[in-house]
Amino acid sequence: MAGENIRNFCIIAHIDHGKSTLADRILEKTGVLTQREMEDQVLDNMDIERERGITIKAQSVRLNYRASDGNEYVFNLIDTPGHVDFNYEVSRTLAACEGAVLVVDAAQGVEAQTLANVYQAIDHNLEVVPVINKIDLPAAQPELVKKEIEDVIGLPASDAPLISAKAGIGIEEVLEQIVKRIPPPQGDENAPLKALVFDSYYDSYKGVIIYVRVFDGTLRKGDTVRLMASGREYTVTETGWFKPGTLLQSDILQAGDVGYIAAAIKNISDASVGDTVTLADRPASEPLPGYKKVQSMVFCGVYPVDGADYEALRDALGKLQLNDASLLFEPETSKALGFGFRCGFLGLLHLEIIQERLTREYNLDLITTTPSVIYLVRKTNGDTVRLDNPTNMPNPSEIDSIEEPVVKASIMTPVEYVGNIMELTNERRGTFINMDYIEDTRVLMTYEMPLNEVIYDFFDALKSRTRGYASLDYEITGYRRSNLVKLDIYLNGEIVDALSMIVHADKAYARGRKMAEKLKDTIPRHQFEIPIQACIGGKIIARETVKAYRKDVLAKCYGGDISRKKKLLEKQKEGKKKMRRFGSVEVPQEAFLSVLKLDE
Amino acid sequence: MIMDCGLYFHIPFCIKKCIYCDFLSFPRSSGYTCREEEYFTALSNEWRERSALVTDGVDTVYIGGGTPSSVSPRRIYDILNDVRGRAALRENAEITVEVNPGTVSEEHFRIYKEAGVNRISIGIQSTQERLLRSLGRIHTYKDCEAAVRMARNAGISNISCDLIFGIPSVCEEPAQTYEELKEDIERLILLGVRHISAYSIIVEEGTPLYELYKCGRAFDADPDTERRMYYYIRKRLVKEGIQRYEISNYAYPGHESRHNMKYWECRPYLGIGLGAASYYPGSNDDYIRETNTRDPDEYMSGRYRGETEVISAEEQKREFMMLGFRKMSGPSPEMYKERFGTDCSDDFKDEIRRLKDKGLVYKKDGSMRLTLKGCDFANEVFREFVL
Repeated sequence: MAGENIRNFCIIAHIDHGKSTLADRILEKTGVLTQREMEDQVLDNMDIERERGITIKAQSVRLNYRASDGNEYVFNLIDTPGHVDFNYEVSRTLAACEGAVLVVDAAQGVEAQTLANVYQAIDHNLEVVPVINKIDLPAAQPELVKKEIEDVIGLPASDAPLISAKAGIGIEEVLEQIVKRIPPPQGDENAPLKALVFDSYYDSYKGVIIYVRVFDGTLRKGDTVRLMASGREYTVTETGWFKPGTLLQSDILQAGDVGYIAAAIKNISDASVGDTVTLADRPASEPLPGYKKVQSMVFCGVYPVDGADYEALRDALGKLQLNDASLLFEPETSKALGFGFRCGFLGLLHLEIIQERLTREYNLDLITTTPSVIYLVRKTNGDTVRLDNPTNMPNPSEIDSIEEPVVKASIMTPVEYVGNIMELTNERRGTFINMDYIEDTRVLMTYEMPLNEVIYDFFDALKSRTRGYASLDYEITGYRRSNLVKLDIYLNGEIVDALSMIVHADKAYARGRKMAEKLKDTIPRHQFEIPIQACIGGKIIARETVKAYRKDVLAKCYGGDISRKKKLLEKQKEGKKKMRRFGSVEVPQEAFLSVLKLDE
Repeated sequence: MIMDCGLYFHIPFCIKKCIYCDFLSFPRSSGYTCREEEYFTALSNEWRERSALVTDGVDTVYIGGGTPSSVSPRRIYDILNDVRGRAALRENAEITVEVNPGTVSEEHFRIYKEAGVNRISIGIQSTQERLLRSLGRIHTYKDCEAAVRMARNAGISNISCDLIFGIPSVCEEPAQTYEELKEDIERLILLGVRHISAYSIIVEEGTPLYELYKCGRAFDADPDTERRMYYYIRKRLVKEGIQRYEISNYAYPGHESRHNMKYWECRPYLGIGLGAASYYPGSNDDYIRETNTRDPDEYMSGRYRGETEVISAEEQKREFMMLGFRKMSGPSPEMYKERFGTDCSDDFKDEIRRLKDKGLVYKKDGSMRLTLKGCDFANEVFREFVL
């Protein structure tokens, strides 16, 4: 077996338990990078990832390790995202591996995501190697955490390495356990080629770069491959492995390998993640089981501030989608905002990140509309409408009932915050299901909650009310009938469709008031008074007024001022260009963002 | 090559900074006043360097600040002597000195007169003692009256007064009232000055007033009242025959500030001194705008120049319109045609149409000018002409 010396694994952990730091140490120990070359968290190479201290994209790297048995091993390490929004990326990664290193914080113990990740790994038949991290912290209780892993998760943890990724303690032992405990890849290099596409990105020189895990067969540069789902065929121009931040060419990929393929693929949608790559002249009979199609949970409209940027936005979204299959988009038009795209996201963090990347990496000025989940509207004529845009809400007289998506939310918390959490979930329309003691001081609370209450800022609120101790995981469980209404915003008597939202009837008043207040603070004064109204079914529930300004004139301008005043006027003009006109009202981008964060 | 040059000299000294002041000026407390000698030497040296640009006479000189009257009037005398020594100062040149009523004596005006000064601009700002105090002015209204009298006695009758309106509430002192402003205007009319600059207060970043706003110790006067004041000033002064000729400037016909008109008509001028700006023809059709350094140490060590911009003909056209609209007569189509060889109504057809549609400008006697609404929202007019 060619793959005998290969170990394909990922690292899973609850957010902040030190996954990326451990990945860095492993890179360092295996000599891929010298300590001097190490930039903290090498695998998080997007600016946003480093700034926010989170991993968004799965990243791959191939390492060589000489184990204590004297043999040389090849490690393919795939880093995975930690935030609950990005669980989808995790499952893709798991499918490419035989094992997972489970990092558990020695002070915090098992958290909600630890559980979720481990169960996912076990579902994928991975060998899970627990590791206790941060043992150098004063609050570390490694023995207790070991016991917790055994009791709560049911994994043997007595010989789990005790490490500190930050201080570089115990890394060697982790590497040894990877060799000993994670099985080598199975697979036949002489069988027809079967390689799973687990990620991809667009390179402007090479075309689409596909990340693959080869399960069976052999792939060489120059081969003609077929993508089994799309049926498209391409000639492979380059194959190789991953080095941190770069690619290393290798003319052959064999069963067990993790690597990349470039085949001058121009159309990004032809190489979708989850597809199987096979050889055109000797195809596999069956594709590998793909992924469950990603479920976008949060939708919003994304519009260019300058209508001329529409094509550029389409292009940018296309490129991002290649890197991020969980991003969905399709064209839509808004009366207020013109041409744009309805986009689907995994969650609000995902939305924010995409928005930030569009702005930063593609230099686009954007307006995003109020996020929404998908509602099921049952009409009196028996039809059901899947509604992801509040604007398309049918006439109230045609609606029989509305259902909203609900999730099962698992919250793990120290006992003393149970009261706070009950209060919070109550505010967010949660229904208590269950509470289990994991140990004397910690509980696992389960709630059924409307998704639209979870997506906004539930996670932030949960963290702040539990001093950061509680952890959250959730999964969609279905739909529940609910008393929902459409809340509309009128500016100067004209409806702004981009600001319409669907809310629970009990919360509509408070939300309408808040929105009107926020808008009042962000809409600049005009030469006339601007009424801001929040309405439900034509009934005004809140009103604010942006007072007219009485003058806009530089009183003085002499020789020494001209240059400076001109710059000021230019800046103002630039600012005005970035505003959107609604009738005669100019609304800055911030107004749209501010209504997303009503609880701040 | 500068024809009919305007000269500006900047005197960056004063007794005390007023709370709204963002001019480049050093109060006594700053310690820079002891370097007065050094500054005037640098000023003279810069003028010597610059004077080569003046080829065809100087027809306006404006000595501003700061407070030019806070230094010995001999300094002013020397500057004007220096001007005559290196350029042809026209017989009928307009020569203005700015003064603070709290810093002048009979002697000042006598020497100014001797130096050839024929126009005095007095920073009165308000005739109400309480408002003078809250603005941080060092003088009383009595001082203002005395200054006007002294200037006249010395033989300088072309007097301008600066007024500020819309004075905010500052540290518990209530904002200026409409009645107070009315009294200011009556008093200025009574003083018989030829020219009035009435500015709505501007809260500039970096001033003490700005800081007071930020910490909630200063508040705007009511915006409606502020506008009523502006309308009143115009109505009342026009009734006296004192015409508004620029957004904030009023004069009896023939007493408009010739020097300031140069700024609004984009005619050439040289600015000598700390932070001063010059504007004059360069090569081809370009114009040069130079702004001197704002760093006193740099200036006094002879490194005068700060920023230099080359203004293309296209940009000159836009500036001509932008600044021209400050004048009540609007940008002059004749001057435009003479300078650029095209018609401004063709070059800016779209801009003018948009502004007309918004009711901000209208056509009268062959030129476009601000409507009354345009005077309130002039920045919207100006913004049409910047990129």
